[in-house]
Amino acid sequence: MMQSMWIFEIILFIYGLSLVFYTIDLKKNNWAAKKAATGLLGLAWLMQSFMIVFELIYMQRLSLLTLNEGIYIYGWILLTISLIMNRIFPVRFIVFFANLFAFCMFWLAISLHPEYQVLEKGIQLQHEILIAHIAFTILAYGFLTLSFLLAIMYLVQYRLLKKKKGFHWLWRLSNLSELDTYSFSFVKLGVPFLFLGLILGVVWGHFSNESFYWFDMKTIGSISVLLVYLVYLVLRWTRGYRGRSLSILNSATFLILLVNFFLFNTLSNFHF
Amino acid sequence: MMHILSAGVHYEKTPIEIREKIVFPADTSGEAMKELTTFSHIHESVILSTCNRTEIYVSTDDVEAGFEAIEQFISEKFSIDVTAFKPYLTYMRDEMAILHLFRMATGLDSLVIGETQILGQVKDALSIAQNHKSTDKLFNELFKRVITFAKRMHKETAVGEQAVSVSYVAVELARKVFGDIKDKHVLVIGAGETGELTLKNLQGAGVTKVTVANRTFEKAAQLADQYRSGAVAINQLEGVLGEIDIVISSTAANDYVLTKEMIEPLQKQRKGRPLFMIDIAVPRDLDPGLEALDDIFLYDMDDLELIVQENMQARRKIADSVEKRLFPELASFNNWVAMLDAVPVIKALLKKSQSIQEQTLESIQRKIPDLTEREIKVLNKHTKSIVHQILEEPIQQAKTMGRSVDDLQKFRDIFGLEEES
Repeated sequence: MMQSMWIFEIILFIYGLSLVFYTIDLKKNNWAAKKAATGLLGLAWLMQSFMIVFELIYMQRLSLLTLNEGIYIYGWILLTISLIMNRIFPVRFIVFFANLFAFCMFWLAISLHPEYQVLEKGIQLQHEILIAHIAFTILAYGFLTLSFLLAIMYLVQYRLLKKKKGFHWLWRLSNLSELDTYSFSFVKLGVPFLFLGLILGVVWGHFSNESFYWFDMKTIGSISVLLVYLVYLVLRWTRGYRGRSLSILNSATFLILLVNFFLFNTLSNFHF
Repeated sequence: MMHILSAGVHYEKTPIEIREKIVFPADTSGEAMKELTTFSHIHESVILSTCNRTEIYVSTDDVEAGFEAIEQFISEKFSIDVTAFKPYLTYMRDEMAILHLFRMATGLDSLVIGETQILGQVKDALSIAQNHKSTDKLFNELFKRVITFAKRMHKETAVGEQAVSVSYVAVELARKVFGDIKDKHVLVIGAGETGELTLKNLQGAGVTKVTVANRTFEKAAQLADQYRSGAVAINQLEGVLGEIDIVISSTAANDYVLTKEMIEPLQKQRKGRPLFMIDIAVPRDLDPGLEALDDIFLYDMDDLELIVQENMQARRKIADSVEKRLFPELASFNNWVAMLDAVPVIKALLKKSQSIQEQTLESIQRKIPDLTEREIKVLNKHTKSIVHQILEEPIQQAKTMGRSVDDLQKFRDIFGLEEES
């Protein structure tokens, strides 16, 4: 997938263009700009989806093994979930923020010089456990990223309501209850996938020829992230906490997840 | 040439004594519109009558006669002398009248800028007019364009979205915290007149869980009974505060009814559940120190007024941008009207040229009788093509000449056209 850099760059350009229009809409509440942004985002998403499906069906492979390839798929999953979410229960600006986040991730993928990091064969489909491990984990990251974005939106709206300022933004952002509920729902969806991904990672580690260490930074980091999300769920489910405090916890946990994803990878011997 | 006129009384320019006389109730306005079209020189009519204005729109071939007909119609209908209302009538013709109609339907001419009620009223007026056959092509097209434009502007610019009354702002803020407020528990502090009005509005908004608090419990209970709510004495408020989502306070007390010290111990029990508080009392009932507590959103009258002002300003700004988009709409409608006048002329031209082409073809067939069917088809196609190519430019010219009676007549003379009546 990443070998076709020029296609990737076109897709990235369209995502970027869509972001420009979304920003115009964000600033000026411009209906035409919003329409253009949505159209461009849809086009970029379709192109990316087509390339992923094409590679999966015709080339019998998935580009998942390097960090930048993983980011590429992660960005796609993030946008897919946000687009589905926007269709079923629209939350103003969520697609914009998901797009912005995914774009930053794509940019990161490009800046990691993919030409030096692509494996000749990618992951062959016979490595089912590894593929399932990475796919579940990336899916979990997609859900948890959206939960994080919603938590940040909650905190912004909370501040606007509390400070009684920026009503132009206040009227346009969703209500606190909705942001809180959806943010929680995405944690509920993300944590089981994260757990499954972790289990499959351990299983693959044991059955593969590579050495597996419980004390590897990546293993410790991933288990820590899962534990903090479990604390979040316990506080919400059994203790009934909600709102600002949990949104702060959610945001902080996601930052740990990012550190685990980027920093701990460099200190680990596993795949990205 | 057809002209569009409007004459009406308006809340800003006409005293209420005159406005209240010139009113067309919805059930009789259709008959009135029909009646107006029976006046000489009046071809179409639409009457819009609301509590803020009554406006009469007509299409006519004579401007002066058209305005006179409207005056006479009002005078006869309401038995008022023309001199009594004429100074207060606002007269507009052609482009001014059309622009005004666009502006009015979008809510730019309303007391509350951007309100959508007027659009519904314009739609209803058109529907009544169409049912009573007082409109024809010109008004059907104009009003269709006006309604489409107004709808589009509301959708694209959200000109009417910001709340511009204190009570509506309060409800909208509550919705920004809770989304739907119907299932929220509301505490109304104060059983006076304002408290009762608040209860009435809450019931109207579909809120079912309400508790009334008052210094004298009996008064609270009495009001609560009336609105099927719960009641509590103010000194027992701590017992219910843990369950409350929204507080609306309006007592005449000189001291704070709810203080930071009263709410702070409940914070642990509330576990991050937001509490939205509105203080509509002067002097204030709710301690401003409450704002320092997490998950509490406190708004007093000054805050709400400030938001109203800000929203009004935002609406005015959007309205200015909508104004700029009126002119392309006017130009587009004018083009359509020009086309409308040119259509009979173009039709006559096409008919005449088609007849010449057919006669020529028949003449060829008579002179060369051995032509095969295929050859006749080819000849037919090519002669038609010649005619169409020659006429292309004159037809375009006719479309632009539509607004000028003289130009259209010259066009008829050049081509020797006679239109069917």
